[in-house]
Amino acid sequence: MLLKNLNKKSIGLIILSAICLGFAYNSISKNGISLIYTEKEYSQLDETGSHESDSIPLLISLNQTIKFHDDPEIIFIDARDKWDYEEGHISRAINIQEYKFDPQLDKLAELSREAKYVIYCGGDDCDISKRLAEKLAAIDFKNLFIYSGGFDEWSALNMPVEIE
Amino acid sequence: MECSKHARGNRMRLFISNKYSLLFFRLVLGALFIFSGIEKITNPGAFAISIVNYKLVPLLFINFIAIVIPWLELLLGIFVLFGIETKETSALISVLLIGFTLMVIIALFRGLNIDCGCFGTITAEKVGMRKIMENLVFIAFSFPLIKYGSGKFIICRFTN
Repeated sequence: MLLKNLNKKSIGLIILSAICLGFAYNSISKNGISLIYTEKEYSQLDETGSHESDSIPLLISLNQTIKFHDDPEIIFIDARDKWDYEEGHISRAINIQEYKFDPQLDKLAELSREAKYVIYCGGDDCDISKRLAEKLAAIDFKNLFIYSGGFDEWSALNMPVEIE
Repeated sequence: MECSKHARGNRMRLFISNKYSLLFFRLVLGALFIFSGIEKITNPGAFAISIVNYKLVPLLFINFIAIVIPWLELLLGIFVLFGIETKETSALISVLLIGFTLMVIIALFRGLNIDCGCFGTITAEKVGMRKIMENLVFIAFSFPLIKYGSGKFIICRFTN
C-alpha cells in the first residue's frame, strides 16, 4: 500500500547507478577487491610439530593444543570479549579482546614477539581467533597458532578451565 | 475512549507529516547513510569479511554486495538529504535497513559473536539488541518519508 505510488523507474536508476559506480570505483581504487570472494586458507600444523609452510598463523588440533597447554612457555590468548572470558576460559589464558584490538595496547608491549601463542575463541563457528591472529601477525608476532575447536570443545571435554 | 484514540492518531499523523519532521528524518537518514557508505567504500575488503561472518550470503555474491551496497548507501544518503526522489529513496533505505536488521536478528539467534560491520571498520560494534533497536528507529523514520515525501527544502524529481 505504502509502496504503490512509487516510481519504479527511479528505483531502478538508483540501483543501476550504484552498481555502475561501485564497479567503476572498485576497478580504479587501490583498495579494490576481486569480483569473487576467496576465503583465506590456513595450514594445519602436522602432528610431528614441523611445518614447511611459511604462512602464519597455523591451525592446531585438540591433541596439539593439549600438548602446548602442558608447556608453560606457550601463552594462550582468549580472543573473546571480557564477559565471556570472565565466565570461563582455558586455564592460564590471557584475554585480548579482538573487537577492541589496538596495536598500542600496553598488554601487547609486554609480550615477546618470538614466543609461541595459541589463540582461541568460542568454537568452530567463530572467526575472531583468526582475525586476532592476523592482527597480531601484522605487528610482528611470529609463532601464532589457532585452536579452532575453541573454548566450547575444551570445556566440553572437561579440560582445565578457570573462572575469574 | 474511541474518540481520544482517534484524536491521538490524528495528532501523530500531523506530527510525522509535518514538513519540519520530514526534514529532520531526512537529515538523520542522510547523515547515517552517507557516513556508513563512505566508511565501507574506503575498505571493501573489511566489509566483505563482515558479510562473510554473518554466514548467510553465498561466498559467490559476497564481493558483489561489498562493492555495490556501500555506493547504494552513499547515493541514497545524498538523495534523501537533498530531497531527490525522496519517496523512492526512502523505500530503498527501509528495504536495506529491514534487511540489515533481519541479518542481525538471525546472527543473534545463532549465537554469533561478530562485529556488525554497520559502519565499516571505524566502529567495532557487536551485533545485539541495541543495534536492532537503533535500526527500528531508523526504519520508523523512513516510513513517513515514503508516504509523505520530502517536506521542506527539496531539490527536484529527476524522472516523471
